[in-house]
Amino acid sequence: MKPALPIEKTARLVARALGVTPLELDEGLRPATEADFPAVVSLRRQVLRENLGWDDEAYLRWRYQFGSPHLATCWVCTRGDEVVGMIGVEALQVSLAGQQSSLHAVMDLMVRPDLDGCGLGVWINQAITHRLTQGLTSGLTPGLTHSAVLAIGSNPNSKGVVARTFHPLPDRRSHTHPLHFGNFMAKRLSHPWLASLASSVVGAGMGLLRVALLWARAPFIQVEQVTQLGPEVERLLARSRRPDRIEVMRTTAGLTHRLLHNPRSVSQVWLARKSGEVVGMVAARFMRIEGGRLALQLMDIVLDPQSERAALSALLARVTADGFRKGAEYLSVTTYDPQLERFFVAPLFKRQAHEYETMAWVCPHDALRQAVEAGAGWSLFDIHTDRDQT
Amino acid sequence: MSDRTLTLAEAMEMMADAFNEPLENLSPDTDRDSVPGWDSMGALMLIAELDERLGLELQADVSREMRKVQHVLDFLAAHGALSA
Repeated sequence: MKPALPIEKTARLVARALGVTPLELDEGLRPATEADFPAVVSLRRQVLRENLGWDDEAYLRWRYQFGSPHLATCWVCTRGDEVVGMIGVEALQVSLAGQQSSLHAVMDLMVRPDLDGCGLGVWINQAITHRLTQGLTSGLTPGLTHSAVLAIGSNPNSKGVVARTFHPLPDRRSHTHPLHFGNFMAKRLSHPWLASLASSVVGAGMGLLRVALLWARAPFIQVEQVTQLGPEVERLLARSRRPDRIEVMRTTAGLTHRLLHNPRSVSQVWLARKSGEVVGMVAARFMRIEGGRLALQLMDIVLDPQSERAALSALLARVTADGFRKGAEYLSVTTYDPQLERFFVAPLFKRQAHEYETMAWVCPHDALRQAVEAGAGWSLFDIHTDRDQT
Repeated sequence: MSDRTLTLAEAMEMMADAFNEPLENLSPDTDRDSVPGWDSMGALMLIAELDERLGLELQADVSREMRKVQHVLDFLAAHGALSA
């Protein structure tokens, strides 16, 4: 594959298209301020148009520095007083065998529609990556040196940009567990009564499998849904870290904000306890899929390695029961941890390939890069993406 | 207008390169939507190729309107950059 243009060439072409100099283009890329908020809202309204089905102002204040706390930094690309593009940058701390590294995930790239096609989105991606990997944003992010930059997931328009701007990593891997079979059978059986009967029979069979493979494997685990994350979750987070895995660090405050305060999509958080101690946590959210149907998505999984199988079995048993009761068609989970993926296998789960579950990065850290090339897993889940649809 | 020209074969190869698409998959009738690499990156690569090889500037609004390979060839012809 032909690599992307050198950033200098991209800058020259894009600056020409925008009627500015490359220096003006570069200086126009900066973290957004409160004064930029109306322009960012307007930009997103122009880009998302009829797909904008949520309170975007509340969402922007939740995700970005327009509100506090927040998860990420919104960078704007400006031309004079105009905001012509934006990109989100989320700082992640990762740890591998006790060694901490700085990493940023990029997301939410948007370009004003009338400038679409001039390469501005490509340049914004290249410029942010260049600044972060060269440590050029240290004045804005105290203590930042050279950071790796990660692109988690893509879409039809960004896949090519990601593939040529970053170094590709193996795709994230999705697995689904069917809960209701009505739609599946209706597509395959021409008689509605037959489809309904088949759906009931197969659904009952799958329910029995859940009892045998989930409920029965966790007899001493209690599971409850919670609306607050406290010190017991903090203790779980510390115990959950594995030396063989790239740990994307979490805090209870960060998880609370991410999972429970998202104005677009609040997650359910379930805790598993064994002898009173929290040994596992999953977060799940309902989402609308085509045809207005409902599906359930696991956003995060945190497990005590000493009780991994039992805790996950208990949690999945409760989450699937709740999803089934509320009419979710299936449960899906996207992982990047080969050890954890051993649990998401047949007959309960099926691997589901997705074209846009891509992973790619630019990484200046030798040890981290070598670990990834050797196949180390990551504690990376959908909480680390910007997929916040309801 | 460009003082350099491409043959049809060279123009097709240029696009195959820009869009990271096998040459045999491209013809003048090929729709943009059927070329996965003709996305924002592919569009930029085409802009760069036209700039480098022919000294031509392909503006964003014109680029967006190009829905077929033929439209790129038409652009080249209109700027005197496609040799017979």
